[in-house]
Amino acid sequence: MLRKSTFREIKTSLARYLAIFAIVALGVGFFSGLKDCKESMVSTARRYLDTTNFYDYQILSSYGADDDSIELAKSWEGVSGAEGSVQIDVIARSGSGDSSALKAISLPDKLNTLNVTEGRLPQNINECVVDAYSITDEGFHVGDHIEITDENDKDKLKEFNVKDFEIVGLVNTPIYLDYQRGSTDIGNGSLDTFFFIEKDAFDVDYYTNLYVTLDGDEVSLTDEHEDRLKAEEDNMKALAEAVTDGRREAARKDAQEELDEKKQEYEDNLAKYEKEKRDAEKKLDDAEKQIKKGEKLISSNRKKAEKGKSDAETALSGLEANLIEVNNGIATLNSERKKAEDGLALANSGKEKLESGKAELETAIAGLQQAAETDPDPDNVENYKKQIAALSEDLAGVEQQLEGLDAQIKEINAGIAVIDAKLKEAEAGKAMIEDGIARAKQGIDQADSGLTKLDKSEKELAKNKKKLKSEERKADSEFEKAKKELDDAKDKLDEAQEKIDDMEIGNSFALSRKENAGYSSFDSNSSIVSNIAKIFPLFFLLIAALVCMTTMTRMVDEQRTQIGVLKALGYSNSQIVGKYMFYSGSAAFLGAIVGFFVGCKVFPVVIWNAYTMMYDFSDTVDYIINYKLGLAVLAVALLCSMGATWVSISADFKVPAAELIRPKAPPAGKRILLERITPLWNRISFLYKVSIRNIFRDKKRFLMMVIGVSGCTALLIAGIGIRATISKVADYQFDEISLYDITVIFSKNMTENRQEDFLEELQDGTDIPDKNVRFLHRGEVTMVIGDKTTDITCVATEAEGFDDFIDLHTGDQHLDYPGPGEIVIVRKTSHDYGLGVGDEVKLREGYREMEVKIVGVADNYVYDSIYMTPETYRDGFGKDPDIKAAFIDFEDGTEEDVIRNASADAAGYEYTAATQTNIDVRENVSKMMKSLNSIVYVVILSAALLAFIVLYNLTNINITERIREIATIKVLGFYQLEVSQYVFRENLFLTAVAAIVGIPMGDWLLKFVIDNIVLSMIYFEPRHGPYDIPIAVALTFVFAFLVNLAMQKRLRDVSMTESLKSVE
Amino acid sequence: MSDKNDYVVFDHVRKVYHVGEVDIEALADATFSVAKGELAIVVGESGAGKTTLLNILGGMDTLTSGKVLLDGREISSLSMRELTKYRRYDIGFVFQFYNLVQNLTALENVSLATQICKDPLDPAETLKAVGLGERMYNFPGQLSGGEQQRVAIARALAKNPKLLLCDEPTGALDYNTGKQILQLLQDQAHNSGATVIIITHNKAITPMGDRVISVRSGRVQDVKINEHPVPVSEIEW
Repeated sequence: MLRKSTFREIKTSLARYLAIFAIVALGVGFFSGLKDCKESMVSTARRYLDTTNFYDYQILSSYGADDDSIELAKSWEGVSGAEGSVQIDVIARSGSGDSSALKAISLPDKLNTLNVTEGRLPQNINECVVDAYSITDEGFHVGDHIEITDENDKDKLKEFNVKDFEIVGLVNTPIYLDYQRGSTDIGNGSLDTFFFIEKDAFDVDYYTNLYVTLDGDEVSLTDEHEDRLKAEEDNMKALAEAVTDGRREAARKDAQEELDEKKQEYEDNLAKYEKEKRDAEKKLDDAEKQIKKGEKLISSNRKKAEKGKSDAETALSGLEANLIEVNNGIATLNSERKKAEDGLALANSGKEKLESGKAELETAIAGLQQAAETDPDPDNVENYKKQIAALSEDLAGVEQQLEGLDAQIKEINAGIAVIDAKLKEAEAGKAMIEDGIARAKQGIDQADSGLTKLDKSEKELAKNKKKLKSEERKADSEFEKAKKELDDAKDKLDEAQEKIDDMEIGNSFALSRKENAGYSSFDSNSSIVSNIAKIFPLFFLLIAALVCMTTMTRMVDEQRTQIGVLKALGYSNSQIVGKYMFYSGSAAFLGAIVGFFVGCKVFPVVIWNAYTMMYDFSDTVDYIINYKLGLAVLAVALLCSMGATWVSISADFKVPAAELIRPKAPPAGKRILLERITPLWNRISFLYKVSIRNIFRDKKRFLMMVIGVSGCTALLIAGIGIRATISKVADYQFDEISLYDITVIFSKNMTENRQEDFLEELQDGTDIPDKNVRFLHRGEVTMVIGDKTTDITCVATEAEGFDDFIDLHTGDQHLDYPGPGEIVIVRKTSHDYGLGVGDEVKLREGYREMEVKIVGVADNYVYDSIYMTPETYRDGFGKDPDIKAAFIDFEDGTEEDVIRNASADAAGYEYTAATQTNIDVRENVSKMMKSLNSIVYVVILSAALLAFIVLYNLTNINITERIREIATIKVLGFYQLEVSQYVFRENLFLTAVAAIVGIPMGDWLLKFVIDNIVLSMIYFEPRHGPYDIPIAVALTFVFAFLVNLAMQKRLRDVSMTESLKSVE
Repeated sequence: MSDKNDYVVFDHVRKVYHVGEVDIEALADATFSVAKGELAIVVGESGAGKTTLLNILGGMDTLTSGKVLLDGREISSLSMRELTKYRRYDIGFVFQFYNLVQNLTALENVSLATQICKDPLDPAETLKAVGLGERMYNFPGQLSGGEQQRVAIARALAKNPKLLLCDEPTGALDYNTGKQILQLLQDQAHNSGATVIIITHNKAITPMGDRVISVRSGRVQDVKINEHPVPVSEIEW
């Protein structure tokens, strides 16, 4: 019977029942939904991480890794799997697109496997798959090509066998769980995206990364797993060191082998050199010998020739002397002959003369004899006789002479004959001599020509000798050079050997997956929601309890008589309580069940929807039913509702049944504090007075109303505030902090000359003073805070004038640019890592680390940076910061076109890699932030629901409770509007009070929520738009008004005859 | 203006309630009239139709057929809004359970009514007139039942209505208090010229009325005019 009455009760007071149901459903839904979000997200991620076999530890060695390292890792204690990966950052371009910095990664085998979202995996070395997340940003599409450009270093280009890849698919990789793509040392320093290619597309014989999974069955993203990770830290470090040692040994071996080979080569070269040298020397020697021999031969020949010649000459001169002699002899002979002939001639002439003389004489005698015979003078004959005697005597003398002459002639002829014989002999001698001379002459000639030949030979020899000398010199210098080269080589080899001998221990890192940016941000991001969830339960449970309590109190009050009757009829307290407990309990139960399942379904989906902006590994989020949580919230919901019921009803049990049957005396009217302020109170129309008195009469209801409605206002303020904070973040950043307008990224370090060139190029088209262009260093560094690390942009520039570009300030307080060894960080970094002024952090760049002191925390919303001077950078990292960025600042109010044109001008400079206007960044950020709107809508919807439930319930109770009063004033002739006002004025007044209370609550809530929204790129500072609070308050009133409107009908339906009924 | 005797007229009034499939005839054929300045008493058993009569007369309910006139104005043809106006300006209502607003003081409860009238009496004066000059700043909770009913009457009177309708005004009161209240109502009619209709099941009080209308089974059984109504003090029940 009692049960029947209970069900009928539910049917007749459905609105009340539904109120409990709804508030419990809302509270439970909100709480468990948000609470469940983390688990849903974690489960989704866990499934992803475990199916893709995400690594537990990443072993990094400055020596890289090889197959031996993998084997070593596989056999290492605690390790279940190991896989090497080649990852090389490279500048590449797709089709018509700009070139960007990409990470080329070798296709994974078993670890960190890929999830293909579109297309397929590569099947040959000419194909690749691309990061699905960046497809929108980078504009890579299946079918496009990725081309490794010539902008890369030659060495880098050598690391690729293939330079042009066709994109055949889009993938997700657990290595990049979120949108962060990390930093790189190429391009503008930040990695745009990645692509996977076959290992054979690389031309390297090592792995850059070694991924390791731990054995054991710990599930990802659990405390056990985290503990395990922590527990294995030292072990993994040891593995990393072992890998490094192995690699170093191998490297040493390789290097040694290579060196030995080189050494051998050197030795060979040396030997060759020496042999060649020897050979050359020998050759030279031979040549020299030959020359010497030649010389000797020449000289001996010459001697011979000369001797021959001189002999010949001597002979010749002897022969000539002989000839002369012979000639002389001949001449003598000839002259003798001549003389003889002359003598002969003389003799002959003498003979002739003599004969003529004889003849004459004989004539003369014969004439005289005649004359004497005839002469008669004998003295004359005697004279004649005497003259004939004298003449006969003369004739005798002439005859004698003749005789002598004949003898003489005979003698001369004999002499001539002798001379002739002698002449003949001399002539023969002469001919012989002449022949000898000719021969001697010939000999001399021969000798001469021999000598000439020898001269020639000698000359030639001298030439050869000279040539040989020069060759020798050349050979010498060449050998010297070769020797030097060899010596250099030797030096180098020695050096290399030395290097090998003192090979560095090398750097080993064992980085757990927690140090993976995506993983670690997921960890914290998924916690955000559960953090937000933390405040809602209290809030909603409070409301739910209050709703239950007021509802049940009202119900119990209404049924006071019935309770009395039941009691009088002999029903036990527990039976009666049971009825009400069942009423509220069942409503709460159903509400909790519905709220739980709907909340767990809806919230994760909505929240995940917002998070897919950062995580793209799954479009859907797991629907996780945490039964423990469900049971807990169910228990709390039941406890709350039934507890409230108990509190409401227990008061009635103390009263005897008889009294219960009598109508409860209506609560006495009371003066309230406000009435003491007579001047004020008197001014208030009593219609308001009654409202005001009503409001303050029931504290419970007042509290519930204020909490509920202020909660609504607070949620609205928070919701709208989140929106304002988020959507205005770009405005705050670019109006207040980043005052520059264009960022230019250069592909080359900007030396002073290049800076000038750039300025010239820029100023060609744009009227902008030098001082408005700031060249600076902007690169990624890793910040190490305790055991956490984060990649952050490091800006290194001179302090002077930097204010014009980036205004570093905290609130209204201007920050001085940091000095040496100091940095300024931004709010987000400070917030995320609990860093403050005075803290010290480590910065890591490559393998170098420095410790710096934080001297300021600057307001900043978009992108996190740290600021330092170039000196700090230089001192810390041991190198000059490269100047690969510039900021360009325009006067405020410069037209967008001007800035865009300047950006285009800057992009035209030959070493400009990229330009970015803050106009675009601003737009992008704004766009991106829009995706967080869904969270805001959830909040606004919740606020509306909350307001509706609370206001509806309260108004409902209010009307039910005052139905008599309402009927009465209707009877008194109040118009419909006046009746509404009479009742709802209270609501509106309470709404006003609650809204006022809600403002600081909303402020706080906004701050809480914003504090828990952590995006790696953006820092949010809770801020209200100028109209946020009025809008929130107005919306609260709209909700209240809507509830009033909904209640209007109920009010109209209040029958005036109610006024005639007796008080129950 | 109508005939003084036909200040309030019920002319063959019929009222049928539809409850599900069943038609209940609350008033079958009620015809009567009340003169101006009279104290009329409608008397009948529970279920006789007097409450329906009251509702219709008070402008809280419509009728199925027939005519109702007050001061020559036909009420039965009024719209809801006009009925509200009618209640507002022409009717003063006294409830069995006073129906005071608990959160308003006596004075304020009276003001609640006068606030919306065209030509109200002064609330304080009215309260003084009903003998509550001392208690006008008290809340209903601080007043006895009789005092509360006085406030209720003051509230009705202060509106300066054409007709004062009282639904079992003594129903929740003890004997003496009830008598005082009835006296007050009689005084209002006789001394102040108000037209008062009291609806009651208590036949004992009928002698005090100028006119007694007996209702039974939805019909006006009898209309009796007392030429000399008995002062309340003389009535016993």
